[in-house]
Amino acid sequence: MNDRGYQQEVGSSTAVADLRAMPAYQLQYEVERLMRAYCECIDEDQLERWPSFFVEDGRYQIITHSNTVRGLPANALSCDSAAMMRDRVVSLRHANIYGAQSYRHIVSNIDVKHVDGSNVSAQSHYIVVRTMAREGEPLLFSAGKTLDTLVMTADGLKFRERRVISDNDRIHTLIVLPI
Amino acid sequence: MNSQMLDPPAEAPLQWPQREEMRVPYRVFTDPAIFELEQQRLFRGPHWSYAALEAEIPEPNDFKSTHIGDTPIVVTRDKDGALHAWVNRCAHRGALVCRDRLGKTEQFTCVYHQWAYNASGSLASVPFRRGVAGQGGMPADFDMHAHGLTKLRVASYRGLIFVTFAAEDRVEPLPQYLGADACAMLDRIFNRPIRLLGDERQVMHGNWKLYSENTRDAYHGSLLHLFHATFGLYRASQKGGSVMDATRRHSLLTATKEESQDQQALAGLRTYQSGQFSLEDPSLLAGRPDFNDGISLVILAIFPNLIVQQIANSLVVRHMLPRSVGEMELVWTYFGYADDSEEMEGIRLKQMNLVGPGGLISMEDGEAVELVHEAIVRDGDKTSYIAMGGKKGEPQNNLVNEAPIIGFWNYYRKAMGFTG
Repeated sequence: MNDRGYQQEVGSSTAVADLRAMPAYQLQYEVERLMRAYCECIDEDQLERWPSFFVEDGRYQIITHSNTVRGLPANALSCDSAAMMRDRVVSLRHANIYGAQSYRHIVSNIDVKHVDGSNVSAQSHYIVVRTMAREGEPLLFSAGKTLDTLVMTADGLKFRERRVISDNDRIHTLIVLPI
Repeated sequence: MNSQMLDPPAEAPLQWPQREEMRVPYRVFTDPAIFELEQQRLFRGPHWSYAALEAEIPEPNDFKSTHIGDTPIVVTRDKDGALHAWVNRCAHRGALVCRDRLGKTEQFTCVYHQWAYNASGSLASVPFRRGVAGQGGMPADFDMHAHGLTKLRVASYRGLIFVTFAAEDRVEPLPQYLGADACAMLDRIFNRPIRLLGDERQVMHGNWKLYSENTRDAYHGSLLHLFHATFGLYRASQKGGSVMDATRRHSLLTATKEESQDQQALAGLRTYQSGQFSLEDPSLLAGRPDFNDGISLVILAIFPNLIVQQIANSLVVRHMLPRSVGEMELVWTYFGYADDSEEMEGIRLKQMNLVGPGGLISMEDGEAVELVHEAIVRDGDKTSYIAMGGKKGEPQNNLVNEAPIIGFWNYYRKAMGFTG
């Protein structure tokens, strides 16, 4: 398996491997490699590939810490299929109007939590620095953690679920790109 | 009310060009002296400002802290269930008394010197008031009743809590302040108990009145927000219109789902790309009517700081918090009904993708506010030109007009004393 494995458009969502058989250090490596490729895809403006990091019925959500502590379900973004993610990308590319911008993800504390057959749960911490092209200044846009469920497919690890829980509940101007 | 009797403000003199509300001098968006005057004449003036939903403080001893204009306040429900509001500033040395956004307490104790207040804002206790062993302490004539928090008047309509700094004889009772059309729409939307779904907070780097204009502007809907057009769901020919209250400070935009295709009107629009794209997962737009009147879009803007929204099944109160002349925060509070099924709640949560600061059909509004604010930094006496639908702030039976914006400025000019 090489990094290309994460760049194929739509892969099989069929689980292919029992991850319990994989040594912990190798699983850690695979998870980190997925996270790295995922961030690179968004940070390098290859948004069309973003949905392909998920299985077809994968789920993606951004919620705020303050809503979760209140037990409230509101989200800033939520997609319950890769198709819905592709729709969002088409909308961002062709419909929505927003200032040209880019993210730089810094991800750390990647912690493989729990392996259950072909699924693995993982947590990471992130900060996202956003640069609006007109202003040219990188500013902290969001910080928080991700709670992920990953699954090993024929195309490598993919997200079955990614929950982004942001510490900030203030969003400056608008939120365009996924985290 | 009484606005005709206001003196022209000496600290922020402003000539309103030709006394025409369709031409708005850009200085009203950028001058700190005007922002100061707005605090006095609008937010602390004869108006009811939205502060909270009763559903946010449903039980005795619940509270919520927020702002009216830039003044920090707290809205409380006392142990008997009655609502109160007060300025969040200790009567002793001015510290913030309540430091949490939401919570539950019987007593509010300032951390600095532990002066304690009850839910109504009355002073309950002062530590070492009698001194220690006969030494120190407050003067003998210290009157606990004279040192409470600054209390505001509170009124609630259909579970929306409004507060005012104004005495009873300076502002109408809340239902009259809102007017019949706004009350009828609130009766319609808040027809049964609601369930909170959560908040989003959006900071816009622009003056709060630019957003007030945006929410009274039917014209931009199909031009700035291109989601529907791009996916062949064009809406400009939707039926709809705008009404205002007698003072024209509030605005109610509505549209129905019924479409009257008008291909000629659409010709030449860069935004019209019917059929070019289609949604792979149309469940995003799936919904069920909440109301049987066919109204699918409501933007109810209540002066000075509230917007109530129904877009399909997305129900929201948007609370405007002006932070400075050049910045505002918008708190989006999403809700459904207490009797929503799990499926219905799922529909509302999915439709959150369409609205709010990341919403596919509305994300552009923050950008629009900032694009204006950035461009009007100088030339404060230059003006905008607001004439779509005629130059008057009259009710309109279409969605290509700017009439409620003119109505807003007409009221604003009087309320601020800018007779020009």
